[in-house]
Amino acid sequence: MSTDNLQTDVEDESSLISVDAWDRIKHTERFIFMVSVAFVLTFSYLFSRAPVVSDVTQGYHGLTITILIWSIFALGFNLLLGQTGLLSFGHAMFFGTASYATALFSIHVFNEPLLIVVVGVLSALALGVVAAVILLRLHTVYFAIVALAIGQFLYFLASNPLEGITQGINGLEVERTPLLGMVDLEHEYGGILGELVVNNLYLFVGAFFVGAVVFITRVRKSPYGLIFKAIRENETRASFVGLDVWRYKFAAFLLSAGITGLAGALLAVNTQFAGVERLYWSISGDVVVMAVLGGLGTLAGPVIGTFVWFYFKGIVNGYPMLGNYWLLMLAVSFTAVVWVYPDGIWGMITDFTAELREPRNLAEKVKGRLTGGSAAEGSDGGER
Amino acid sequence: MALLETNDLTKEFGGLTALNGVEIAVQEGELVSLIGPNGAGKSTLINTITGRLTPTRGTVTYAGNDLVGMEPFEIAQLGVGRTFQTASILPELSVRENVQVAAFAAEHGSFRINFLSRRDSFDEVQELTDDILATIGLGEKAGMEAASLPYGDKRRLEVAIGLATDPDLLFMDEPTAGMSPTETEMTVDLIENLLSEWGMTIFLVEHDMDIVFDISDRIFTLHQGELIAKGTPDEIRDHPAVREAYLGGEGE
Amino acid sequence: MTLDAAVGFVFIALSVASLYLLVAIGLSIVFGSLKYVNMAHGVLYLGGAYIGLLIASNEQFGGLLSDFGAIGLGWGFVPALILTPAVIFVLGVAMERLLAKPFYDRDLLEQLLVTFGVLIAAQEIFAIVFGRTGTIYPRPEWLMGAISFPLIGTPPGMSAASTIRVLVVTLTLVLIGVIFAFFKYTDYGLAVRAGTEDSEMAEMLGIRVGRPFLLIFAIGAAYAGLAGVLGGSLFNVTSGIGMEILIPSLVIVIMGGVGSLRGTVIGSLLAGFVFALATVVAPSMTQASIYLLAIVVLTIRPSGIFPSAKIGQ
Repeated sequence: MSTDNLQTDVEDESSLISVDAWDRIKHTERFIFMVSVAFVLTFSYLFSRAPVVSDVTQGYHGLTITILIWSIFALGFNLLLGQTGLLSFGHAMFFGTASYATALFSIHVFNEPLLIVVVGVLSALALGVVAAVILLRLHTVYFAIVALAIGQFLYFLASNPLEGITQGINGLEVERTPLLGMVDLEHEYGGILGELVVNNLYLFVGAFFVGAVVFITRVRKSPYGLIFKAIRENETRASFVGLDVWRYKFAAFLLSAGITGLAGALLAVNTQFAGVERLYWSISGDVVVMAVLGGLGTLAGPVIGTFVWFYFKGIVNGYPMLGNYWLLMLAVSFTAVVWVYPDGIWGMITDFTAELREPRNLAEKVKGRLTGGSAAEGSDGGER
Repeated sequence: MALLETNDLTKEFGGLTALNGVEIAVQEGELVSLIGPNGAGKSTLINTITGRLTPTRGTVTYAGNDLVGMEPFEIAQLGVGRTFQTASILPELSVRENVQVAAFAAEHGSFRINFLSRRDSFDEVQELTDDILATIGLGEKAGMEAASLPYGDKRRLEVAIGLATDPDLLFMDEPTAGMSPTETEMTVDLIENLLSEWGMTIFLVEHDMDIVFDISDRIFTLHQGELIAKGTPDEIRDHPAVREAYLGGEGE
Repeated sequence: MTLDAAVGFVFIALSVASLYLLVAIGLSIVFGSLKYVNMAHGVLYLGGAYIGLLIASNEQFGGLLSDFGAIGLGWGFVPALILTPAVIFVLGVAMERLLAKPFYDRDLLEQLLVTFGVLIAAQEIFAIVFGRTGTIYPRPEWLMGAISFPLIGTPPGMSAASTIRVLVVTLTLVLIGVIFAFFKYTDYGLAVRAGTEDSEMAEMLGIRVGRPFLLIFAIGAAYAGLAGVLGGSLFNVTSGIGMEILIPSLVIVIMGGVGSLRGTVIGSLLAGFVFALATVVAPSMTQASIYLLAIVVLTIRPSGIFPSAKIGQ
């Protein structure tokens, strides 16, 4: 690409070309990979150590690991709701089960971080197969509520009858062992690397985050990704073009369960703990809020939603006056997003940048708003 | 042997008989039309053949396969495609993606289609998609969101999705409903093109009698769930039962 | 099992079933007739519990109210039982107009999400205003212990059935009778029934958003409010009880068959008896038992016990 395009200033054509090129680049897998790596490498620093950003988040390196893990969870959940249109109100079942499996395997069989994470993912997949058989015959609200019922069943099962195995509310401890028997996860780096990533645990989780993003990107770009969206949009039509809808829903469900399981397993490694509260409905509710708030059906949305959620829980919560209201503010924002702006925060950002590109449209819209043309806007939202 | 054959096809809803002992046969390469007044059971017949409804009794045989009890997707995979009366498209996907989904569905046996392969790498699917978009005249609008298409284009996209499944037998449920005269003409041309160039067999349900009598090889007439006449356009035009049940209004 | 123990067992089962039923009945009717799934129904139970508490007694709360000393009318339990449903009825009318109506034509999942948001927000508001620690209803003397009538005293076999549980069961029986009568004998009830059985027809006639549905929405709300008072006096009152009662109630609605009154009644009874049975044979499974029941039932019958309304199978 010639560089003079970038240098000529406001000529319409040249700016069009660069915008098109940017549109092409930003959707390539390599670009998404690089962005996610760059995000992991700078996130902790920018959030908890960079002097200019904000002092309220200083020293919250631990929170950044939590946010990365929950982002994986929200991305996995989004694959089901945002991509395939299936709302599970019981995703905590995979999160909590994987956490337990990770802990139990580390205690009773063998304890190596990579291996126990794999075991956690496998446990979520196994549960996914069973849950899918029950759930995939059901639609919409039925699917959502029965998923919730399965989640609550497992929660009460783990907290009481299986107390001997799960230690009930006391939970299980996951001892930290070196990765592959060699690399100490708690090893802290000095110099620039230390500034950026602090320790190996962050790198360990960060690598899985990048892996999850790359994996999900590939799924979205595969034929399955398209078919998932087709099922979300019009299940009847999908079956009449010859798609075995059950099979694709099953695939989406298992992918989502596995990614959620990865998050649950990583959380067990990170907190060195697995407890029954990870199966509770509120965990499922939290991830619904994160994914929807950030923006369903996108890659950035769930990550942004997770960030906002934990910013409120971890940071705003500590404010003297506002702190008590953190969850209320989140719940109200969530409700508002569903009500008036189903594309979420990321949708607002992309809409805004899209409008910036088309100044004329923006001007017309503003004019339309001012002259009371918002009725069309409202009915547009109602259709979704 | 006929490509599609129904025998004593009957569908009852509670006490209501929507189809009663319907027997039709469609030969390969034909264009047959189904006509009948509103409520005659035309949609029920299509829905029963394509697996949306299960017949109360009777058989449906397609190329030697018994279709009764099969899921819609299995029937589609055998090569029976359909378009819907109301545009049944995927609103939030692009026009191109709408067609592509069906084109992927047509490749159903392939193990290359999985969640780790790239859509872009399926050359034959991309070519089929491009072909169909060009044939149907939506090539320039390929990037648009399907929901934002004007009505006539939505109906054409509906037909395009049906085509992309690469069917041998295509059911078209009122493809010209709500179209402008120009669009209607284009659709008729397209149907003739499908017969001659693509070698498809077409089963048309249509309200526009001019089109039906103009392009059909044979016509079935349904009235109150029963097949009252079948034959060439000329035979149907003069058929007393048809005139009475259906065209009677015009004679007065 | 002795007669006393058996009667006690039955009343535990029935009282649990009653609470679920009072909450689930409104959910089921609204879901079945208006095709509206309302997680904010839990707010009505929650609101009922706190409003009942404010009417019945005079308590020191935490949260924003902590500086105001003891708050409440202190009129006692019976006025709370009568007045709370009236207040929640009005709240139900407001909820239908402001929250439900704008969403009747939107996707079921969007209804689920938006009402979930409202429920969480409402629970937080209650937590902020009343504090996060639980409160216990002060039970009047006559509600304590076994039921006892003037002159005859405690009827034979009833010594293990506590008065509060007998009251809950009796009230529920009456109220469910009222609902059935409403549907059977009133014009409004018939209109709602017609709408449930043939929503397209009803929509065409424009009765979906009409007064019969508003009324039935508000009646369902009032029942949930009453359940809040009754449940509050059986268990603890905290800001989280809305979701706590809503989850099993929703599960029961789905299990019984959405929109089917019989289904909801039988679903509640099943849940109550399984719950009570678990307390006897496998106490550790008590809370898990209801969900296990629902999972088993819905695996066998995906549309519920009495599939009536055809929404999403």
